[in-house]
Amino acid sequence: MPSDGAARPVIDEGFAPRRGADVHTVVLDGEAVLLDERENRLHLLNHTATLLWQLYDGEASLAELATDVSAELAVDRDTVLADLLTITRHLGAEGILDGVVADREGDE
Amino acid sequence: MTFLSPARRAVSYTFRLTCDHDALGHWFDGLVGALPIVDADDTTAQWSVTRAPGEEPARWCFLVDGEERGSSPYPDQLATTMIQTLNGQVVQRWTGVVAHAGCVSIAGDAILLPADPESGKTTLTCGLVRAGFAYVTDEGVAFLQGTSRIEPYTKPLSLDKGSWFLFPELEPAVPLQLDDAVPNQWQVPPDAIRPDAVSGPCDARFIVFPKYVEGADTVLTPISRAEALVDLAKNTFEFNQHSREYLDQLAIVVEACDCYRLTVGTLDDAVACIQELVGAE
Repeated sequence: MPSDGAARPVIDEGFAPRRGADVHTVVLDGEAVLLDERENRLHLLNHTATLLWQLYDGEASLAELATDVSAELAVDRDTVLADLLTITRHLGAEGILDGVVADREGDE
Repeated sequence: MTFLSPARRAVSYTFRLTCDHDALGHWFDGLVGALPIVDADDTTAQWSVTRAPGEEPARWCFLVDGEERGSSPYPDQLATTMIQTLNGQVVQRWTGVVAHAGCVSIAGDAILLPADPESGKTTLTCGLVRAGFAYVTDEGVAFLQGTSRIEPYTKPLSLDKGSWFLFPELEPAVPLQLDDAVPNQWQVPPDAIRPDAVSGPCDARFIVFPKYVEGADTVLTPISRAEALVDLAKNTFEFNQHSREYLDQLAIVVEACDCYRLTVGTLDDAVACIQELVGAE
């Protein structure tokens, strides 16, 4: 249980990620630098994570995004979904997705 | 007071110095002699160096607008305090972004050298100026808002003791220095390195993050602009207080630049690397 008592949403294929409202994005040559303004932390995303980050609108679930990205890039859907889950869970743990509390167990 | 300096401008901060010892005053003013002379007005800060009364050996007190900022019997230590005060005022008074970086230029193109303290940026800056690059700063790179244009901050280079062996010709002659002085930093005016070494306004063109590693091969490694932006932000004064605005400004700068990491094994190799980099462009 996180220290603030809030429940964490399960990040599975039904989860519809949304970019955090307090996160400012700068994209340079297809890579994103994210500024978490609440924590004053910077995050660097590679090309793939940047592409996904820009798709996180809170409407499309990870399953739907996997279908779209798989079709667009002609890559196996299960592979895309696995990558999506990994990336999304990492971004959620960093506290930059809307409604997902950062994983700060290591900070306690 | 027996010495009165002209008013000088450090980026957007203006000041003038009075000193009740003429030779000492001239020496201090000579250290900042590369800063442009301007007309004094009511925003010009009044710096003064005065001798503490009744003390022997003499102790010199440094005041800004009447407020003491430090004192020492050793003029070179006082000079270090004065330059540190100047650095703080430059950052505080500039309305835009100031990166913690050395910087040199060639043909109007600036090479930024952002780095953590003790990483060797002043040593590399000094070596590059000696090799023919124009001197912009060894401490704070001030960007004109909305551009990658740089306003030079041509303070004296603050060389730490560990680098003195590389520049023996730059050892300063400090007036009124006491026999028991133990200097730990030289303040070196850029024209002591090379005549006409000072840069005019210039545009950021390369960002090189230097890091001295004893015994290593000197290697220049390209990095992505996004990675450079993150590291430049970490080397920007007061970034946390203005993070979004400063990140956007730094992105404008980074977009205009090719970006690298430089592992520095020797100064000569590092200078050669930078020369090759700009020559290749």
